[in-house]
Amino acid sequence: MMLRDGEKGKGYRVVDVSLGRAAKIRLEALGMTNGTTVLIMNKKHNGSMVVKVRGTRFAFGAGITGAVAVEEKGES
Amino acid sequence: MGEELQVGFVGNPNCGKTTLFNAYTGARLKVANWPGVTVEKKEGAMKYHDHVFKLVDLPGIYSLTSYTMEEKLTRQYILESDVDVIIDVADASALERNLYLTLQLIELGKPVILALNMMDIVEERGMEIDMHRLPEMLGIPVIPVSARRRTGLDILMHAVAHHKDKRKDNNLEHHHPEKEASRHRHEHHEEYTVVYNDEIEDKIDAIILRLRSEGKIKSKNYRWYAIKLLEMDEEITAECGLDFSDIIDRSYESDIINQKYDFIEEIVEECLVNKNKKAEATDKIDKWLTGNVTGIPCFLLIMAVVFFFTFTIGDWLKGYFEAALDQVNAAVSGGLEALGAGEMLRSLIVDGIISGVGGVLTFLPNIFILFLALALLEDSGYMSRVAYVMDSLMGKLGLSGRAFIPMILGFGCTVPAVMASRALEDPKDRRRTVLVTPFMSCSARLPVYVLFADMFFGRAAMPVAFSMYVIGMAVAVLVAFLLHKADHSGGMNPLLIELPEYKTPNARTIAIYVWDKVKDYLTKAGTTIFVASIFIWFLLNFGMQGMTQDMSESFGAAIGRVLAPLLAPAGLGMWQIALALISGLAAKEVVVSSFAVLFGIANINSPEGMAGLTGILSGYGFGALNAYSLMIFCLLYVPCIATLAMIHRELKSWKWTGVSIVLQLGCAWLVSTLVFQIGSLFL
Amino acid sequence: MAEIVIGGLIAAWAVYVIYKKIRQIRSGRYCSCCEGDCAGCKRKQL
Repeated sequence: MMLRDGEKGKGYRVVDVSLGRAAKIRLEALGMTNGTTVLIMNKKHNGSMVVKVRGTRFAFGAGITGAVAVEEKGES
Repeated sequence: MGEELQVGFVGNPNCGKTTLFNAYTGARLKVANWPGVTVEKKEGAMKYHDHVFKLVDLPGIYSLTSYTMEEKLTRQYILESDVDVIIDVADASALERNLYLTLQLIELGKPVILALNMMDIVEERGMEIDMHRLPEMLGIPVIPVSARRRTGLDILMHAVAHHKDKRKDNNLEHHHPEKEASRHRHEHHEEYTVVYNDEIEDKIDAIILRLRSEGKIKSKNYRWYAIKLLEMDEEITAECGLDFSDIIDRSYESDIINQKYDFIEEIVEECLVNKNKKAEATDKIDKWLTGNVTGIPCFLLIMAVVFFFTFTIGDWLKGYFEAALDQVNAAVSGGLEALGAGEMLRSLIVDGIISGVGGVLTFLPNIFILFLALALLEDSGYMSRVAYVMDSLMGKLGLSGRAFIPMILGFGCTVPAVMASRALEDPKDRRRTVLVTPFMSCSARLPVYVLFADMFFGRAAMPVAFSMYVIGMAVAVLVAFLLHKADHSGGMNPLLIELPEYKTPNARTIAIYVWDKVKDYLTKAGTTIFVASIFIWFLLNFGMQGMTQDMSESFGAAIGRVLAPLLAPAGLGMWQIALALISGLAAKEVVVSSFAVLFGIANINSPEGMAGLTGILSGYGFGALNAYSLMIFCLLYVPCIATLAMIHRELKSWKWTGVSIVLQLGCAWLVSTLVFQIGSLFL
Repeated sequence: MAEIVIGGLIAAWAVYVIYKKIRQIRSGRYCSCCEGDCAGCKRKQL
């Protein structure tokens, strides 16, 4: 599933990031790597979200949340 | 023994690196370009005891991939130049994120010193960093500094001077509690800060062997090259030119990044204390400020409060300025009389300069409060939230919340707002933002609103003036939407912004910022507005036949009359108004100055001045509705020359600059005419 | 006499201001708030 479909208040594990190279590297430099756990703090209808990654709060637009594949924590 | 050392400053953007750099170099700064590229290179020098340090400020970067020019430059600089020491400036309050770069820098092989900046914020938030354990785990010196408070600066340079005094046992200690016991040679753990898992370390060894015998690379740091090859770094792979496909079966980039972050997590776990307390408070506040239903109303409410204070407190302080201006007026008039100065000079000085400049200066309190409020909002951490709150709305316009930040900056001054549009990667989005940002009411227009709202709307002055800001945003949003429809641009600019934890604004930061703005305002008054007032005075007091007694025969009147008919449908068909609006090209505050000079009002912001002006204007049939229309026109029409120049620079095309001008004039005329005509039906 | 001095000072200042402004616009430093350092304005973007 995509991060965008996640529920507020739940944690998910990042599986893949399908964005352009630049954006992907930027996200990785910020700590959003495969295997990282993220926590959805807030979610809007259009897909933008406030997400906690390694202790830091980020606001992500729909373009990002729709491109990050995640799985529920506790799976795999 | 005096040494000359070359020191490079590296760090994430926004970690205070440049502030720190400036604290050392002061005025002795040289700004050039890195050869062949448009990235700025800042160099400075300083003396430390009997050492001479040559300092180089590198661009802010998040990591050292080969993807952006800034990263490539930094890599090249560190690997190939004579730099002796790297100062890694990190934001101590965002340690995890900053350590990623630190680890990469350490791997480059040159001596690194970690300067933990913004320690004062860490204290404020009740966090603590274990300053003994951290250098042990990283294997490099860690120096706490606060560039703002200028603490730790000497100690940092001391560490730089002594960078060669490495202790024999590096005190490097690692714990890998959950990992399988490494069967790898243990020496690695003493030499290298970051040690990867066995599979990767084995490959690194194999690659190094081959590089040593067959490779031709630019530096001796084989380990780093091996790591980069395993990451399939484009630049390095090309540089090495050897075939490693037997060792490098796939890209190990993710593994390497993850393992670095695993290590970072260990470090943070051990060295950072008390992170969580403030986090809870922030989350609670964010529930309201970024809530789906509550977000935008909160934003509007906060804005309303800001303007409420701008007006009420501003007006209260204004009284002192008016009184002062009266004194100056009297003193100068008296002085000129005593000197026997002629009428022309007296008129120039009193009716021109003092009226024009003085009139604008009396609005300083309002400007002061406005910037104070904006600074408080920004320093507290709220401004980032605004981008998120607006993101969904902006999305419908085909823009991302990212574009809202330049727009918010527009409340202060359109020039930096237009510049901030550079952060958007898509050129079409950038262009749209640049076209739309000028509609966000800049602070220079505030005096116009305050004056006319006070004059014609009495009690309702504040909401009326506030409505200008709302209308400005509405027009900006609408135009952005229409432009989006007309030209379906890609818009791959997803919002990506950090929401820092809320903190009580720092008094010193705010003071410095506000004082800067006040200084700017005063400077503007003494320069641009000064000259503009003289020019207007000249235009109004000289006509085809030389100096005139009757302004309506002056050059100014002639110019104004050309445009007045066009403004008539908006209720602004007076040549004086046309001229005042034209004068606004120099600076929006000059519109106020023009009115003062045009109608001979000595102290335009005072009760007498306003009453006088209102009376005169009523004589022309100019009432509250006209005033509102005037404010709208001022809000939307062409900004000052400085802004136009900046717009041209960003759009890089005369055609689009022209579009911008036409768009602004068109909207100004359209909306003010609509308001006036529709309003006339009811009133 | 005083007139000429005062008038002269005003004129000189005006000329100086115009000269500085033109130089400023041509060199690209449009706003004292930035002094050419765009990082400050891009500060919140990641």
